[in-house]
Amino acid sequence: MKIQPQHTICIQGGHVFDPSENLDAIMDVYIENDCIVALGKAPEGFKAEETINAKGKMIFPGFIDTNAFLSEPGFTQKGTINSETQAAAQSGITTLCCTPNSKPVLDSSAQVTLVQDKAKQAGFCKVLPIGALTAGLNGEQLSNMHGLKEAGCIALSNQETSFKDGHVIKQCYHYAAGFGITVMATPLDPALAQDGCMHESATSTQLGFAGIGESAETTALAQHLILAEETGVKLHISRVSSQRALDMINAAKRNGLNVTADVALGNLIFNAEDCAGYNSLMHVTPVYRSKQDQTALINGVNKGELSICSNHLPQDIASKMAPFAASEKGISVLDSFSSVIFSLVKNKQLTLEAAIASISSLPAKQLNIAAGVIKVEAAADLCIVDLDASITHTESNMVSGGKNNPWLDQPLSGKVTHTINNGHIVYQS
Amino acid sequence: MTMNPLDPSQIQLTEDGRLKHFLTTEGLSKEILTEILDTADSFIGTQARSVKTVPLLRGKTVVNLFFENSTRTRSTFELAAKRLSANILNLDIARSATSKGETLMDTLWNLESMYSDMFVVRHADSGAAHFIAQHVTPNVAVINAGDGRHAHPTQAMLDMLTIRREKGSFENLTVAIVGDILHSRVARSQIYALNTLGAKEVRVIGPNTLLPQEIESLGAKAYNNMNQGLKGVDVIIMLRLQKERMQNALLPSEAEFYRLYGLSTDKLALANPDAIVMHPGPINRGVEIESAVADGPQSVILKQVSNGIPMRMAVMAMAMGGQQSGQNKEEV
Amino acid sequence: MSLPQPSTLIDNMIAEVNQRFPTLNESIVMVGIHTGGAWIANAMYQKLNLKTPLGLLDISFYRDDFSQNGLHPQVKSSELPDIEGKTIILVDDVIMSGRTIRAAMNELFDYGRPKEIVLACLLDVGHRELPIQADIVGSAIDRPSNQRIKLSGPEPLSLSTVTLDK
Repeated sequence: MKIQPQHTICIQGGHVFDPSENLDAIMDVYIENDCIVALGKAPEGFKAEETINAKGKMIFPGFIDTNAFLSEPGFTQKGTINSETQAAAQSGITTLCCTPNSKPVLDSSAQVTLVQDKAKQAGFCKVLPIGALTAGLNGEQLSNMHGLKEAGCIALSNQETSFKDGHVIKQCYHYAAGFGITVMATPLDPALAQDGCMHESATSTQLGFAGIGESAETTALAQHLILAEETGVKLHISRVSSQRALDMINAAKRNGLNVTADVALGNLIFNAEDCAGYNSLMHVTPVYRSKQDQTALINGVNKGELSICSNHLPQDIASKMAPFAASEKGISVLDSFSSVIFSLVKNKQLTLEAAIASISSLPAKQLNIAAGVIKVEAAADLCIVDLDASITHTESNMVSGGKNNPWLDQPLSGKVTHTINNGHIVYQS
Repeated sequence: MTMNPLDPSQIQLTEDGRLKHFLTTEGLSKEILTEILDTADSFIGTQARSVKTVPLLRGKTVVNLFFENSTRTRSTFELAAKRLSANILNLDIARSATSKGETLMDTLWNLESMYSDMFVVRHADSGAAHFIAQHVTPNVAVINAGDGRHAHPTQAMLDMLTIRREKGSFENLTVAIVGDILHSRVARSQIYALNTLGAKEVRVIGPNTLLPQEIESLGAKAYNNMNQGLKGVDVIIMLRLQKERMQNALLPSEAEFYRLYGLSTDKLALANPDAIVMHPGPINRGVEIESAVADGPQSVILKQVSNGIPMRMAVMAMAMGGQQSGQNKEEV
Repeated sequence: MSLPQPSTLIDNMIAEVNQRFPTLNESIVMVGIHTGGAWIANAMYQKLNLKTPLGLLDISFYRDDFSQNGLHPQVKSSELPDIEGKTIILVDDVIMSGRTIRAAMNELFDYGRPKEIVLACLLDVGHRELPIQADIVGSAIDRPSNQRIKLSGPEPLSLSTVTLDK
């Protein structure tokens, strides 16, 4: 990367909005190199090399996504670090936590470094890898947790794979707690989940599927919460899917447990009834649950209990061209991530404050990431958004390698016009 | 809400409301279901003749695409196709060879390039027939011969035909479906068909472990107690119990199942005196049903078997006809 | 141009049947083609002293226009007495292209091998497409090819003209 000794940008006339800093006013933003140097009034002698007119637009902190699959290494037919981080940048994301379930899995510092190098080369956003909690994600042996942390992993997770037994979970948490490593978990009891492929409900009965009941999530969650309490590990529950699970997390917090949680964007938009007609785009993990769960999760975001992650999982066409249960799970989210969230704001389901916090200051706090805030001397990670503009993604204009995007050809409101990452304009519409 | 293009009730019909695929009884109107029954009734007439074949589908190619083995069902479709004068190709594709969707698509494309006109599909995945109907070239009809736990519409309709021929109509009927509802695609298709055709009440009887979640939302009243469930019933449909259900913590034993849910002479006496007894076969005597009942005067099990061919002829003829009329419309 | 009264034509046809078959014994079977032909056959059967039951033929499964139109939505079961070695008086309302009669004869042969088939039609309107002729005709009239004659019934039977738009 070329080092530019002095690079300055002035963003003029935009509405700066960062609830964590109580910013909600029209003011100019001054950037020097990779830092915000002033808000409102230009510092003395500031000469803008580049000026962006943000009149009528919003300026938000660069967004943080706590869970995205980048396909690389191992699955480049579905996407690459370059394509997927570019898609993220188009959504205003400047910090992204990638999942460890690549091939090979991210269970060694060499793999972690490789991913970081590729992300830096692409230059669209900062990628913070989530390392594997067990070696090879086998659910049996501890990974080199300390080495992974040193290599830059923001947290460790066993992702979708199950643990051999409770003892392994306990030992992982015990070990991680000693080094202050944050652990991410998506609780699911594999025996209770059986061979289910959607939420157990009237719809699963109608479609003839074995269902995954809420208890598959909540009984496993209870185990994780108890073991976190016992070991003192910092636990982040990734992709909560039911109201009851959220209630349990809130109760644990009230009892003093250091636990945080996020929800996948899709679980705020869809519910089990959307699986009717065997739409393979609704085949996901965690499953879309009832309307009531969906509403509870939206409320959780509004109350600041949940951050929102993309749960981005790009798939090639062949992987989705199969009967529902035989299709690969997941949806490609990054291109539409922020526009879908802005649409929730427009429909008055989310407040703007909660929406922005849930993808900036809240995940930053949850995972201890130095990002997601607009203030002087903070990193110049910003996005500029025209909330009134609409955007429609199509198979040809989307950037992610996975075209399994459930919002294709639907107009969404709120369009990112610029994304600035470390003081560089990495996306401009 | 925008209309779901994958809506099962939409995909089966042509624009002018004729059957072009037969994937599920769900969402089809009373008129269409009645037309299917009427057509099957008239095919019954042809089955009593010395020459049982009609020339309706002459020159057409029907492919029996069985991803799951079922000699019985496959044979009835084969015979039905032959009695409609169609050419028939039987493909038994082991499940293992096509565990991924790519291979299923490859199989389809290969068959399409052989100019097939109809696929009769049996697959272990729920929704497989829908998937195929969505992805075949236009003018190829798809008949669902059983997909996962989802639907088995031709079996359900031959049962409806049997009921109508025995009882005349559906209006005042109370029908009980007994046994393993959870894994039964036939039961789901029967529940939809019975409700649409106007049955007074549909009941499902079984232990909680064999009743699917929210089964009542499909239009059936659930009973754990068979003695209560059989009271005042006009039609009893017994389902087949697979032996492997004893594993996986679904049932304690065949003996306990038979004691609670086996149709014995005593239990049959609780139903209306003119109640008929049905079973899709093959029967596990002494597990689901007592031999004296299966072979008794109230049993119509053999009639179900003989109604299988005309029902499949009816559905094949109607779906092929719907595809034909659609094709000609496009040319105009 | 006025159309004849079906009842008059039926009387003519009955007379001709009686002339052809002075003794109507067990070897003669009358079969009407669903629906118009069945009405005519029924009207004739009432006045003839046949010894065998009246047969009904629905030729839906034998039509050669299945590829164009699909299956007729209200198919009736054909109901035929034993026709093996019998003389069949096959009755239809209007003969035009001859395709209906072709289908009917194919179906009859799937029930057995009749000794002889005699075709009786209420009206012959020409425009034949197959080498098939009626033996007993109520009346022969000329019609332009875009006109169809429709029989309404069963009680009372009446004829009307329908012009096809094209």
